[in-house]
Amino acid sequence: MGGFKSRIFLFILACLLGTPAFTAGRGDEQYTDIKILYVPGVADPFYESMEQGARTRALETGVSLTVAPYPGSWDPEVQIPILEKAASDGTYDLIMISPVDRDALIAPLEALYKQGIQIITVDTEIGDGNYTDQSQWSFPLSHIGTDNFAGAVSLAEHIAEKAGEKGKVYINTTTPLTSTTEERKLGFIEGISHFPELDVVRVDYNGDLQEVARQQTLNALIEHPDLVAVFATNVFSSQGVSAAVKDTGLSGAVKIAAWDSTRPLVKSLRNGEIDLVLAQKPGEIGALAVEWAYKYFIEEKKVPESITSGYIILDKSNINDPDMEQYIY
Amino acid sequence: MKLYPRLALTILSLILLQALFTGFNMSRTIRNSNLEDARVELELETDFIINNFNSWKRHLWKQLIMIRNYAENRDPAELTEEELNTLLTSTGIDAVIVNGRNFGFTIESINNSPEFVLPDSHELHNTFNHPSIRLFQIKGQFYMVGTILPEGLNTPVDVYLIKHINDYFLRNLVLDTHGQILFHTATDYLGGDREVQKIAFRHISPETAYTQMYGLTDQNRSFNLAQIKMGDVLNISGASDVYLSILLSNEPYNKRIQSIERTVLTVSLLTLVITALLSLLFTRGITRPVATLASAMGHIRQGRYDIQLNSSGSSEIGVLLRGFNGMAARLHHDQIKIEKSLDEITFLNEFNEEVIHSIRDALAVVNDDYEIEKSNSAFDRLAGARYESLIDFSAHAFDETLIHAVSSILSGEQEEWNGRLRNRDEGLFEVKIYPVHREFHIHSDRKMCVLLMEDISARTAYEEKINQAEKLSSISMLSAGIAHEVNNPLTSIVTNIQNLIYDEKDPEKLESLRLVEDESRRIAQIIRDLNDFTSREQDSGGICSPLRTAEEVKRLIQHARRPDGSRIPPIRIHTAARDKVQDVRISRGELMQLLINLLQNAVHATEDNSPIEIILQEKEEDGLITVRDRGCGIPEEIQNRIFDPFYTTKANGEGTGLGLSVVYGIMQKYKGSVEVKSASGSGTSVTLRIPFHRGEEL
Repeated sequence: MGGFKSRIFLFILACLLGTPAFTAGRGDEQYTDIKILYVPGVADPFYESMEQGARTRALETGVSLTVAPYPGSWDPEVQIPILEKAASDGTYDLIMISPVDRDALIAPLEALYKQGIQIITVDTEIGDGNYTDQSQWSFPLSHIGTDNFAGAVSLAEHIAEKAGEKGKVYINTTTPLTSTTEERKLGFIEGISHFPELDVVRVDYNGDLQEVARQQTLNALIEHPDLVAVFATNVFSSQGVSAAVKDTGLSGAVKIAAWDSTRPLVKSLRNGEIDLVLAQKPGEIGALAVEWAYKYFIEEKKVPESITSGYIILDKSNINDPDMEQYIY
Repeated sequence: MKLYPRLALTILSLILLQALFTGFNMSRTIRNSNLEDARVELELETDFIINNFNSWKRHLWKQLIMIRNYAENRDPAELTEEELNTLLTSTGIDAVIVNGRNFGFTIESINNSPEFVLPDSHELHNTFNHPSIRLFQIKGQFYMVGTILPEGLNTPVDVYLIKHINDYFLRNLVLDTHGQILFHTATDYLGGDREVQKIAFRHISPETAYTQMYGLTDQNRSFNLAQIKMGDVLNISGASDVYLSILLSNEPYNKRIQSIERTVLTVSLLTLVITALLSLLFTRGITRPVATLASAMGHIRQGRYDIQLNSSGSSEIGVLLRGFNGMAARLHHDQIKIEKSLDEITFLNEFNEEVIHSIRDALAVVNDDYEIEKSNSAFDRLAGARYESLIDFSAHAFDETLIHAVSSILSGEQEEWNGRLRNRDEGLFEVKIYPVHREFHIHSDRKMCVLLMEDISARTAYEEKINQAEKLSSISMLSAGIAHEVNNPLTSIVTNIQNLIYDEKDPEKLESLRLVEDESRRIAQIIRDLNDFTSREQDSGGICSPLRTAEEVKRLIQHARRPDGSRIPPIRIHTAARDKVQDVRISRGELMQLLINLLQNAVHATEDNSPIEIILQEKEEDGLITVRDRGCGIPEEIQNRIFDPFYTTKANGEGTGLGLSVVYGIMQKYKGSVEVKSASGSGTSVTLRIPFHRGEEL
């Protein structure tokens, strides 16, 4: 037993002594000559949180991270110029970008790619998101983001339970051109399809405008007075939907499932105006993008074409849990 | 502590600990389970109540949309009372109020709902251009109001569908539940169970729309509380948050815990009692046999091995008892053997002792510390007592010669020592000393030796007497011849000398002649003494009284003088009663001669005037006549020669050296004996032992 104890002690000692070696490059300031440009989709807490995660990881790996100006709206015509200008202002090895339009961003990104700049899409994709099969949009190294489809399926199942698994359901989303929200819509529909007595009766596209979402929801409530649940695929959709339901006094009677745990939505959740919020992990997405860029350039590892980050569903039962605070952005 | 109390205490303590532990853990588990059950129950109750409430919202909403749709085709103001009643009764709505905005008219239709209080229509207002459902607090009453401003009407009207949230409504809301509910704002009661009011107000959490609290207590009641923000209520102050508080009693769960605890306690107590009884039975199965065994072992300790215990059964106790029985039987058997052996040893020991003590010679074993390991009675008698140390023994019985002899053996200088030693009592002992062989001393490394002392005093005396007698016999024969041959010429010499003296006138010659005569007479005396010495046939068979003879001798020589002219010491006769002195078998003349010879020697030995004693005694069949003086004594080295003929210590010419020889010879003739005790400077005692006359012996 004496020998066993000695081995354990030596192991622990080795761990303690080796920790600096283990953590070398992790948490300590490092420097490499890798330069990354981050182009967010729009100015909102989600992308700000993504930036924070990317910066933290960049500091740990010594990678240089530059953040392009936040677009004021979710519009390729706003994002593309920002992209091109930012790319020309510096010499970058890699661009991590949330394309606001799956088609419009293909050409500009490809042009940059042909200049030797590697591309990683975060949160949203270009094309159909399939970078494995050879296609016009298969040049990015990888796509990193939430599995929107799976998350939406899970969300649908949760809201169905809350709604009593019976009745009519309404979806309010942004634009069909945004890969993420489309996947969420499809995933939600798939999830609802698991409940025979639930039916998605209407889908509206609000163009990522909150007021539009509000009005659309109001109309849906009038058109379908027996609606039991509504799914809003993004922040602005959620806020609009929530406002409409609240205005009609149907909070609680009509369950609302929202996407993205922004502070306003979390507040609404705490106030009972929203019933479910799916919280992505944008910080994790940003960190993964920087980390895989580091691995690609420095360690010369192959980057998987698709990398998914995690999510968590918040409701009244866990929203007040202090551990959930980390998922609010 | 005895087995039973110790065992019982241990087991009972374990049970108690187990009961406490079980009770604690079960309580904790039950509490956790209760908490989970309470949570689930509260959630279910809450969901049920809220869903019911929300279903009314949806219901109202549907009615609003229906009115909206209706209004597309028909003016709601044209609704008849019957139609309104139908609307009310079919929907469960308590009242419908139609307010014309521009014209201020109001149409009211009231359902005869129990406890319904119609709100003041002026308190109602619609701020939206779309249907909505609002909560109103009007004059202390709480209402859910669906509001719609139908579109496209010529006369805009606000239609209010009113549902009074009163006790009747709430009772139906919570049908089949046992929760207490309360609608309230942060400060005001809206509807429901007033008992819940105080508790609800105390636990309002405005930051969150849903709160659950468990295990709250109020007035010794335990309950769980859920509080849900249900939106806001419009009143004269504006809009306030509305809370729905649902309270469920925790008592069933507490009772569950108490029941479990009681059960655990009961089971534990029962277990304690049963365990105590079983322990008692069990320990008796051990303690009784153990007590029996202890008692039997007491017998063993006291040396009583003949004991057997009843040992039935195949249990460990039975095995133990059988083992004990076997051990006791073996011990008993061994005891008997040992006793036999001891008896034998004792017998042999005693026999050896008897043998050792029966040996007439003195026997002792001495170790190298001069300690007497073993000695027999004869050895102890030599010193008059038993001594542990040879040195002490030697000091009382012998002298240092013995010590030196023993030392030479113990040191290994000699393999054996033989010699003759005289003890303090003048006895003569032949002493032999041998080393003890080591193989007989297996338990000791000490050197030892054996002392063997044979009292040869009598034998030596006898041998001396024999030698003396033989010497005397030889000398007697020689003397007889010499006396015969010398006597005749001597007679002639003496006669002629006498004749010459008679005729001689010269004084010098006369002196010489007289001297020759004296010397011749002395020679004649010697011849006569020698004849006396050699003649043992003379006067044989005589009898005389030792007392009268001693008195006669005393008279004869009392007044004699020494050669220097001084008087001889006084002579005293000691005896018992005069008339009791028996005659002895010796002639008077011979006895006189003996006494005279002895008295002469005593006078010669005594230089001062110490009396010379004649002591008459009796011993058994003999008379003892002792002549004792306090003179110079006889040195030990010459004592064995004093009876030799012609041996004398006197100066040349003062004696013939035949005195004691004559005494010896006469004693031999009468089968008596003579014994001399003397020591230099201590005087001499010569004892004649003569047999008594018994009359028929003549």
